[in-house]
Amino acid sequence: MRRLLWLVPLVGLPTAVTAQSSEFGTRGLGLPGRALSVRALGTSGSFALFDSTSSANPASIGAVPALTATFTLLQNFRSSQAPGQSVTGRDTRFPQIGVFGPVGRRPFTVGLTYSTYTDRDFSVATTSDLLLRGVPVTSYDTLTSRGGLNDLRLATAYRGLAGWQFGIGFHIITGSARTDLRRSFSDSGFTPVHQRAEISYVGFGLSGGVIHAIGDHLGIALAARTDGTARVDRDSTRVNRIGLPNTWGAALRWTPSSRLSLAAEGSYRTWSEADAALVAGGGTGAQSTKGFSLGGVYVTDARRPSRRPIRFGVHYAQLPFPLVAGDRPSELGLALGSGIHFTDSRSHRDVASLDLSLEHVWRREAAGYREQAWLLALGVSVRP
Amino acid sequence: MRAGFRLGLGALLLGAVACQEHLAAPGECPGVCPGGRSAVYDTVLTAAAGQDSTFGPVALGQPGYVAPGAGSSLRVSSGLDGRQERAIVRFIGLPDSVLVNDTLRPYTIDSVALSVTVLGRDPAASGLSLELYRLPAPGSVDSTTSFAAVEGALTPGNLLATLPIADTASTAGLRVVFTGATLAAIQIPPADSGVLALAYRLAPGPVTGVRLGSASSASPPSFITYITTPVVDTALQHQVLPRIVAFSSFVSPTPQLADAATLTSGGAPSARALVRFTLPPFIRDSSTIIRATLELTPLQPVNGLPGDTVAIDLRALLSDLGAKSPRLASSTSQILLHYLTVGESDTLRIDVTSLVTLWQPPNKLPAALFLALQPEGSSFTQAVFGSTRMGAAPRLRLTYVLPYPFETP
Repeated sequence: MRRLLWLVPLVGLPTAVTAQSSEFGTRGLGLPGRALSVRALGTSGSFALFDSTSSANPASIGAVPALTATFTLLQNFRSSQAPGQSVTGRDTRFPQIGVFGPVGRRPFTVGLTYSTYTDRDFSVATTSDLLLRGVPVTSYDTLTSRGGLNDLRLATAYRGLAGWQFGIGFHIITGSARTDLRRSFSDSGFTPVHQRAEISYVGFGLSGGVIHAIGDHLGIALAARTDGTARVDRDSTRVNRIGLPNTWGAALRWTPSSRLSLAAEGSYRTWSEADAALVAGGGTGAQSTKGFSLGGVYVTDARRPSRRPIRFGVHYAQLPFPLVAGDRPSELGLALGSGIHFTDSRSHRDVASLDLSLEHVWRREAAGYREQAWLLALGVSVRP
Repeated sequence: MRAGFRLGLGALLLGAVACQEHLAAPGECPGVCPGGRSAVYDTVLTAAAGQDSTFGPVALGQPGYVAPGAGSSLRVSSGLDGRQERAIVRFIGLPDSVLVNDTLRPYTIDSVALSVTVLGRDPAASGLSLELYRLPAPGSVDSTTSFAAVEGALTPGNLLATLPIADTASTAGLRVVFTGATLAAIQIPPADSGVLALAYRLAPGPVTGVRLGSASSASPPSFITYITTPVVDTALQHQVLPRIVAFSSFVSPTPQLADAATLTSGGAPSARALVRFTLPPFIRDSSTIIRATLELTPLQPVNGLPGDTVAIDLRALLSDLGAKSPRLASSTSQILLHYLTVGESDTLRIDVTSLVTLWQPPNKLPAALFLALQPEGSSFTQAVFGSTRMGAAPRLRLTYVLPYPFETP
């Protein structure tokens, strides 16, 4: 006698309402975080593998001259479109926090960073017409998820001779998504539904990297990372194991003059490791991604390079979790940034810096999903 | 420092806007509905075979849940549903002296007032009158008093009054006062020890019935004696002696039994029905029940007094102990009343969602419903429904939602 009642929605209502950091974060593990400092964001990530306060390359922390703490705040203003509808929204994230410092007078540096691995914050509201007990009933559904995966990295780097830096990092990937479904019906005879689940994740990863300066004008950086698998629990019950990607990145930095530095970076992440588990869990799967970025830093005051540099860049990246199975979402971003360092007048030592970046991002997927976002980031670094 | 000031200002502005959040983006399924849609299912469960029962007066001599007269009203009928019923009342004894100024003193009776309240009647029946009789041997009027004994006492010599019931009144207080020459009719002989017992009968007229307030109702029959005591203080001379009801009931020549093969609620003594269901574990433990409807098929049109207010009372059980199962009644939301209309014969569909959800965790009460009739032991109605042994068995229609398939990467 058991019958599925809503098999035939009477009217396909163009509904929807709310949502999240990005509509492209509702699937899979969410929208991948970029784990970049504001300085690296200002160059669209092209300097990320060289940037000591980003988490992309453990070797980069070898350049930290003194104990440094960084904090990043990211404000997101976006306009999202889906087939037949569009909405705007904004939210705030704290995607990158770190503490770095050299180990005494030895050529080693250690760093602890906390960054967003993926963002699963979203809220989707829909309405649909169902046929319940032979009567048309409108159903109002709101699905909300709060949380995501975070990456806690403990890294150490060795600053060697002849411009070599080596680094390794140990990652703990953890976090949870508190999911909540609320459903009510136009016919008050049907009791509203409220279902909740907490989906938690834990995984581990290792990363390694190297940076080499070739003369005064060239630098290369390589990084690799493997994240193994993450255990997925729903309300304390093991429900899945999901493969996390291996990541390879390479970057080239060129400093043609004392005022200008340019960099290009490319990365490849094997998100397809997660595909089977996602499909088995009812998702649309995952695809490996490529990303490229190109950017530069123009120093406006050659005597004080840290004073109001102009950072710029462009990046293109594929996104791993399609909204519609088989599609290939991607994003393109243009970034601009600057910053200021504060120097102690007696020791002439940098004691703090404030960096800003503004990035415009276009995300798209073939099935008619589009999104534009302004990402305004503020970074604070303190050297006590 | 100007640049630093500007950056600082920018940071402050950013911090200010960062305090606001407006999570908005299009929700379009299935694209941005991870896990898909939550499906709604519908299923119909038939009562567990042989596990539905009627408890109460299913055989002669078996007691019911509420005995005649123990409910809120007394039935008086003249041919309604083929039944004859008479109400009987016994008051506590009238003393032969009263205490005034610490001294027991004799008194003289000035007047006596008898009253009774009509709680329910057929609005279509007109010209009704209630006959008020005095019963001999009032001290022996109790639960063993038979219809024959009462009927034998309803003679013109025992008739105290005939009280007309106004056609326009749905409820009415009827009162008669004896004073002066009429006092002799109500005088209590010494042999009766001050005890007065009354019987009520509908005067010959239409086939109908009335419900009178019983001892346990808010409007019980009353017996008030107004007296004068021989004291000098005029403020104490006139006193009132109200007598409360010691016993009230109603009698009928034919016992009202319930058929054990059916599901019967109501009557007097009253019957109740217990219906059990077998809830599939996946529904019981995992689903969200959004609507549950109990379907009961009457085996006969609902009988009783037209226009009277009668309701099926449904409750969950704290524990399934059969006939003596304790019913859950800790809040009004756990008592469902479904009002019946005399004469209706359609299948009853009663929303029992609030009770059926109690069968699920964390309460996990027995998957059963107890059916009674309100007012119990007082109304003329006896609702008879099909069971798994006779007629159409009770059915429970469930609409439920299974756990949402939250995407679990």
